[in-house]
Amino acid sequence: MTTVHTFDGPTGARIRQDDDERWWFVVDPILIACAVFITALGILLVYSATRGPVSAVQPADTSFLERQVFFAVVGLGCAFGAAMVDVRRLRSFTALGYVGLVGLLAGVLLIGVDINGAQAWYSVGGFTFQPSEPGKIIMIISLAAVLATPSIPLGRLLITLGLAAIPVGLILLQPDMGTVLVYAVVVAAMIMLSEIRGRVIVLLAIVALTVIVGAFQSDVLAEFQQDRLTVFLLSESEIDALDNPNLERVAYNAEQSQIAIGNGGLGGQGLFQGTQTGSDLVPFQETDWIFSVAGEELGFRGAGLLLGVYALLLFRMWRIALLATDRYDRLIVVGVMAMFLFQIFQSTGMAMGMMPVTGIPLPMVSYGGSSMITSLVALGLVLGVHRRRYDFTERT
Amino acid sequence: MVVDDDAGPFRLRIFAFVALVLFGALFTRLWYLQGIEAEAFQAEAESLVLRQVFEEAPRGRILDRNGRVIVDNKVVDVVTVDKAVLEEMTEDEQLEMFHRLATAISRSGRLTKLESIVDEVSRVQHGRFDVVPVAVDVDPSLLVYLGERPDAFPGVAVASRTVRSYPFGPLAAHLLGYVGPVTLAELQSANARIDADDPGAKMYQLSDEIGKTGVERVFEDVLRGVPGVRYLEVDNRGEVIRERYEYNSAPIPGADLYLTIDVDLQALTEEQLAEQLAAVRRRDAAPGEPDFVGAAGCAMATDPRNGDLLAMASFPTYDPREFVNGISFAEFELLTSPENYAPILNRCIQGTYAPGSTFKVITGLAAEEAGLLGEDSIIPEANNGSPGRLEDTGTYFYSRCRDDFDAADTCEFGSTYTGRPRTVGLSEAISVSSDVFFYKLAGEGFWQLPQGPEGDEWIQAKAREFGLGAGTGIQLPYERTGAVPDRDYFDLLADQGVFLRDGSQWFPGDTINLSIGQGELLVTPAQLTNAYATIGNGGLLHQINVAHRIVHPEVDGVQPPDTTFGPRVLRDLEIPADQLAQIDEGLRGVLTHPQGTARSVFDGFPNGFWTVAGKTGTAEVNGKADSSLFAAYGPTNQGEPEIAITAVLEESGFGASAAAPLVRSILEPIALDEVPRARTFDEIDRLEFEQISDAAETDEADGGGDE
Repeated sequence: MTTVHTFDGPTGARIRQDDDERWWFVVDPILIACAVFITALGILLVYSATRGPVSAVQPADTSFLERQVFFAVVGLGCAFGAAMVDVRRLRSFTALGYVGLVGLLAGVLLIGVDINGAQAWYSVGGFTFQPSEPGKIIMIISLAAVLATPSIPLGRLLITLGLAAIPVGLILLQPDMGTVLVYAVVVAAMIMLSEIRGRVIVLLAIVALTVIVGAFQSDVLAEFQQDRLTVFLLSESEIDALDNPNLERVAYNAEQSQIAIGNGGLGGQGLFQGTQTGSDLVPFQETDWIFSVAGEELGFRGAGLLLGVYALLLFRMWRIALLATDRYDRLIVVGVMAMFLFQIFQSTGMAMGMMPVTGIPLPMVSYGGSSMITSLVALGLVLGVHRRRYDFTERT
Repeated sequence: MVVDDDAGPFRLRIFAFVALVLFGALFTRLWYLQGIEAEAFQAEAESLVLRQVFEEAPRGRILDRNGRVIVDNKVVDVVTVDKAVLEEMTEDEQLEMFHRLATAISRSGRLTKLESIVDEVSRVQHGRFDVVPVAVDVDPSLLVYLGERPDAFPGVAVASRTVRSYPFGPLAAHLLGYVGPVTLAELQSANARIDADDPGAKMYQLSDEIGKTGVERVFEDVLRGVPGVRYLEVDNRGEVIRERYEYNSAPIPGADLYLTIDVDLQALTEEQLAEQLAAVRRRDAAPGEPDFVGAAGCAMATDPRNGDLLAMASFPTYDPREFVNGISFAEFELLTSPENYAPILNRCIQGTYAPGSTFKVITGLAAEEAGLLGEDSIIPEANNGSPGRLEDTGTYFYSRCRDDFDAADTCEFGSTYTGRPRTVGLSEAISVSSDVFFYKLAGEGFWQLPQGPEGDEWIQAKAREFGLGAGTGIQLPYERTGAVPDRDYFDLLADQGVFLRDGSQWFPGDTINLSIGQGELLVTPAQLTNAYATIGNGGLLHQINVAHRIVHPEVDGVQPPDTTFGPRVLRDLEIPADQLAQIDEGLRGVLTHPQGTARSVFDGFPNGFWTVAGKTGTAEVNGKADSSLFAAYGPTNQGEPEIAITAVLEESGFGASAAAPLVRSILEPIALDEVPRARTFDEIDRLEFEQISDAAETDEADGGGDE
């Protein structure tokens, strides 16, 4: 690239620089390196979780590996695109995206397919597509647009809550509790980091807490969701005493996952060497429970490194949010950051027995195209924010 | 105002604090699991492996159209050897143990060689830790004997297993086929077709059985059940800690397959085929002629109304029970060797024969369509005075035999007719089986019609319309197509290097030979039966059905609807009624015309009440006695015929001397509604026991009388 880009410095002085000399000025190489590292490690872990028992008769199953690589390549391409586009100029299309999302979420309830108890997927030509995943990005962009528009001061909060409620309600009908939680956390974080006043937020938090506690005590939660909470709250012997096969099944996943991680020890069993992983003891170990594979095969050093790189990734995002000079841009970064933080904490926390069992993909690691592409595009958006941090031309 | 303009950096720091706390918690927990408690978890992990144990579901049964069970399942005792235990023994210890085991099994009543145990244990299919069956269907006393001596037989156990059982013994063996252990190649190709994530997937394991031939093979997917899976948690010593019932799935049995055959008719057909061949073997050939070997043949019947197979007998036959306990290579060799006339062959679909005179009906219909008979015939003789009639002097002289050589080159085509010159029409020519009538049609037609498939290959075209030279669509594997020779076929064989002339050397003599079903023409008995069924039903060529219906197993207490198989019409030949009537008349004349070739054979047959239309065929085979053929359908006087039947007996002489009597012996009980009931082996045993005890009682009574 030899084109000349224009940057406006914080002082307003125009800085002209050649891309070839100042490329680090527009990209965040550390963030990119973190993302690539996590994605690559994730592909290895997915392969380890899905290759199956390998013998002379049965070669390794590479179908998951191939698809995950495909998803990663597509995701990186999309991320590059997202970084290059100036989302602010697309704000007029935000409403269209939002309507499309609501349409897709409503449609999936009608013609979607049911996988593991949630009707959350479209099935097209051998691939499945989960609209609530890319929906996270549309949600973040939509809310950022509303919260960053000063012309609608009081209504902003109510509009935000209203806009959030429709997709969340539709996802609740699937029902996909995990994704609902992600949406809730993202919305909460974006409101808290917007310019809405502190006491309003405190008031809102009190209302939200009341609703949540009320929900737990009513019959809103499906039976399996109650089971999961029960399992989380009770000890193993108490569960055995209840003699409920559903409870045992949920408890079993959590228990096997912890055994697998504990079995990894400090050094790990070695990639592809995990005995628990190899004998498929943890169900859904390539998706929601992928951290158990990392824990067993890579040990404290590897799994800790993975967590560390996630932490570094989040720090870089946080830094971009801090440097951002545009409210809209900053809110986008905050939304993505909240999404990553919650998904990482919930997914790894569940695998380690710290959090209740709720299926949430570990970003860029869990098997699945919707999640992979969504995570990478979200990072692309953040990089875009970074790229135009001195660009005041479209300031809001 | 609810807007706080200076919120950004401060609130971001709060966010960072929250994130730090959360990551701190994750690292702490990870350290707790992998640093502090690692040893405890490792001990637990070492002690637990989830093992899948597959349970093969019972295969579906095979029944006849009336629901009588032909193939069933039974549970037998199997002696197994655990290879994991063998690992800990030296080779000498193993051999010694196998020797003791072979002796014990043999003593219990099933003769077992040391080598067969060693072979079975070292077969590549078995994994290092598999439990290998070494003797199937052993006496239950072995269970006690081996159970009392665990030290002498480490790793040996007696387990039960479901295998195929055959209440009627070898009945319909060729049709049914047999099952055997799945081979590695079969396993991989079968599993590759299956979606393993489907809970109803019928995945194969290495110790499973799969249909190898016949109905068992074609309907494998129907008959095979869904294997059950049990999930066992085992520790590192292989001991089962607990069973994870919540993951288990029970085996679902395969679907029951009802065949179109009728066991009574099948048993009668097989019995009569075997008896007729035995009678052939008792006959002496004329001096200087090849012997009547009478070692092989086929008799089969279908329903002309819908193409259903009613009976299919191939001789020599074999006993599918031999395959149940695994068959040795030497035994299998005996079933396939040509010296034994390859009992494994299903001659009804795999034997190809020249049809001989049974083919004349097709030549006749072809001649009608080509305009060789009737008032405007292009053959001058057929148009003279008595239209459609030709003179039969017993020999046909053809003056343009090799028209590419010399116009004066005359060939002579003889026949078995030695009487005075006679004039015959199509019907009569069929009834008396006049060769010269058809020679003339073929020879003159060849001369008059332009060369090519639309012209002088009119007989071949009609033969193909009747399904000759192609599969009959019967639901059985390895069907052969036979051959309808023409110029293209000659070219093909010449290209393949088979010693034959090429298409440019197709001579009129080839067409003349073809007209009476000789030469290179080859058909299977199934094709011939189907062709006669087509004439019988007025021109509809069906694909032959073997399966009547499928009765699926219950799913969650609900009975799914049966799958039924209707008639499958391949094509409508649209034979004009007047032509069909002539052919039908000619075929009925075979039994009734004063010179009808099967008149004496059917002497005394209730023909007036149940009229048969049939045709004898005698096919010359180089250096061997003739093949004897008879194809028929009936009854023709009670609406649509309900059975088409063919018999082909190899090296057995004239059609009228072997095949026709065989067909009569099958049709007569049908006509009189006296088909004997087929008995299962159990019924025969019971009957014999009753007879013996009856005889004993009579003896006693007689004895009492004497005193």
